[in-house]
Amino acid sequence: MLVFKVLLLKNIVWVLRLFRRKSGTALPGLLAEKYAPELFEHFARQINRVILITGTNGKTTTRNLLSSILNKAGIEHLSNKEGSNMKRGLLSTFLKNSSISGKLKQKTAIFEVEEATLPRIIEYLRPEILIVTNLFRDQLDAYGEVNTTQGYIKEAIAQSPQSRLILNADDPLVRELGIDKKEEMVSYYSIESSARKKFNYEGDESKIGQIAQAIVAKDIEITKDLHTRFQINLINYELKIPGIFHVYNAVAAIIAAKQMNVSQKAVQDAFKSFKPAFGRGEELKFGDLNFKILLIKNPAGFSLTLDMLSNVENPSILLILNDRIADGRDVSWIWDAEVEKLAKIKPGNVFISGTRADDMALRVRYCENLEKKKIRTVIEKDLKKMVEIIQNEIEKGETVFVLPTYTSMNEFRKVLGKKF
Amino acid sequence: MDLRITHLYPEEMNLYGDLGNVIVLRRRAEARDIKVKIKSVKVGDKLKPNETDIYFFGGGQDRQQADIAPDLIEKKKDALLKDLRTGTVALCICGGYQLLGKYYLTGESRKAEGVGFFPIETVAPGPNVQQRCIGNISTRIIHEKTKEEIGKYYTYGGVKGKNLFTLVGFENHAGRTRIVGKDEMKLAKVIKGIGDNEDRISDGLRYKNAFGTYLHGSFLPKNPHIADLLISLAMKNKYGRKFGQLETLDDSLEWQAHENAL
Repeated sequence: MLVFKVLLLKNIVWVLRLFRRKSGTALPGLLAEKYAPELFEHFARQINRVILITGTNGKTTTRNLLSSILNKAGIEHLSNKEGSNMKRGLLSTFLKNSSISGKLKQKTAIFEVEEATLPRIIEYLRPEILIVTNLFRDQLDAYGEVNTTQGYIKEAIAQSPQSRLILNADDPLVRELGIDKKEEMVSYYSIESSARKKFNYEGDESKIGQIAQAIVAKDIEITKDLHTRFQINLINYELKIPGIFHVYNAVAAIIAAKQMNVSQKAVQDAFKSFKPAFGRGEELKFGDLNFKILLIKNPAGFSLTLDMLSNVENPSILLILNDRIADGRDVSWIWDAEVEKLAKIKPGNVFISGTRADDMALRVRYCENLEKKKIRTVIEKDLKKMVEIIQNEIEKGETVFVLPTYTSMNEFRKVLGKKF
Repeated sequence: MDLRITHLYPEEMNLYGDLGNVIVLRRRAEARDIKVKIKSVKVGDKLKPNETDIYFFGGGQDRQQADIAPDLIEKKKDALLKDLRTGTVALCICGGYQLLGKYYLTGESRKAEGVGFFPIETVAPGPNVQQRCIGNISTRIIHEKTKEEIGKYYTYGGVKGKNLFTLVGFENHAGRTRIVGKDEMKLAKVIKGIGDNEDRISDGLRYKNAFGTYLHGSFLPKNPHIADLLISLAMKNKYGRKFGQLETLDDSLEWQAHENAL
């Protein structure tokens, strides 16, 4: 019976490809979740070593980095690199990698897991390490109050006492998660205070007791070519993606790698050849133009991305705001982001597109004096037309920084004729 | 001329882009060469009367809302009531709207006492997401005095008259609000969405110069007529005849967004 189910579900992937339905990545998992829920436990039991990553921002980059490090170290592993981080996404990853008889050859797995999903799966996966990146406000119209989200993670930690925790010490809500754990079961990480100031964490620091010493990233610098440099314990690292927030992801991945006894050389090699995931600073070439994609999903991420762009001289920026379910139907979050930073960046052009281009255009309008406008904006809802406008307006070889929400990123790739 | 805005509980009551309302009031006033001072009043601060031209009170998470309620009664209520009774302008969104009423009973049955200025009572049926009222909402103003004042204070050439009385936003609330006083205080009737309660009939209230509504979005960016009305009423209160009319701004982008959201 099991073989039959695995065979059937595995073939769905193939059938979907046949019909060129690229949206099929999570479908086998979705069907398995509904019709063969026992498969999850069946697969999970075969994995000896599980590392889970959760938190509102940075899951994908942290997983991606750790996965690159393990590749360099020659450790075969599973990873949900399609980015689907709910139970069905993990099931899809299992199914894709299993033999027809339902066997997995990998014994290690690195999964990013959506916060509410974590307590539903942790008892099956029994992770050796759980990384919690941060708890920013996100997906508000799904009622993702940060207190509720923190509750999910607390519940998961209680269910999995054998898991070591790697926690962002700078986020009070995350730091609190380690308070009841034995000291040797928790590692904290942090970044130097001048950089930490750029993050508006929720929660009250004063309510949380002292923690053991954190591993701190220092000498953080964004270079002119938009790489990120930093130092941990006197060792220099360079990431080929921009953003102070990625330093957090990198430190978490480095600590996890160390705990898995991976060599320093593998870590360094992975950083050298690291390629960002979809939307996390990847570059797309289109004719004579370069597009650098910096996904924005919530106020914290949007503010920090704008902050980072202040390292570029008069950047051209394309903002794409959609309000489909995966983006959040409520677009009010753009008013919680510090778009005022845009006025300080002195952008060359700000192009605005997406289903809610009007709302984004208003946000940009109100980030400076209404009567003394300095930012030049071009508004076009239709993304295809917008790309044509950009082709006409921007000089050859120039880079356009694209800040899309989730579904608009996929639409943008489609317009450029790039695969998912 | 200057305008003093008091932002009540900016840390606890700042959900769903409510800060955008303060940004819009400030920018629109500054565009008319009105100097703007924004004061944040937090938990523990004693509110003083006669120091505010416009109050802004936003929405919060249930837990935060119940947490600040005792402070609201103890440290803010007297001054707030004194000002509101004498016509000080206020914009209260969602949780702020509820707490200007008699009480809010949360989904976890915690009772948050309100200041009792609006004759409303609000009850949440339970703590589940499924029981929340979430989605785009548009309404039409039925409050006669408000309609008249928009006509008097707001000008924008490119707008068709019918649109001057619509409001657009995004609602996300567990509480169901019932009016236990005069219907003529009702601000607007619902065109699309839910509003005060399941009856889907009305949203919001105006009493004296205090406005309450469930519309986030943010509310004021896409409703520039209300933004200018609030500023005008506040300036009229403060400067009397010396204040005539706000200069017209180019609100084409605002109305385009408004019409697309209708």
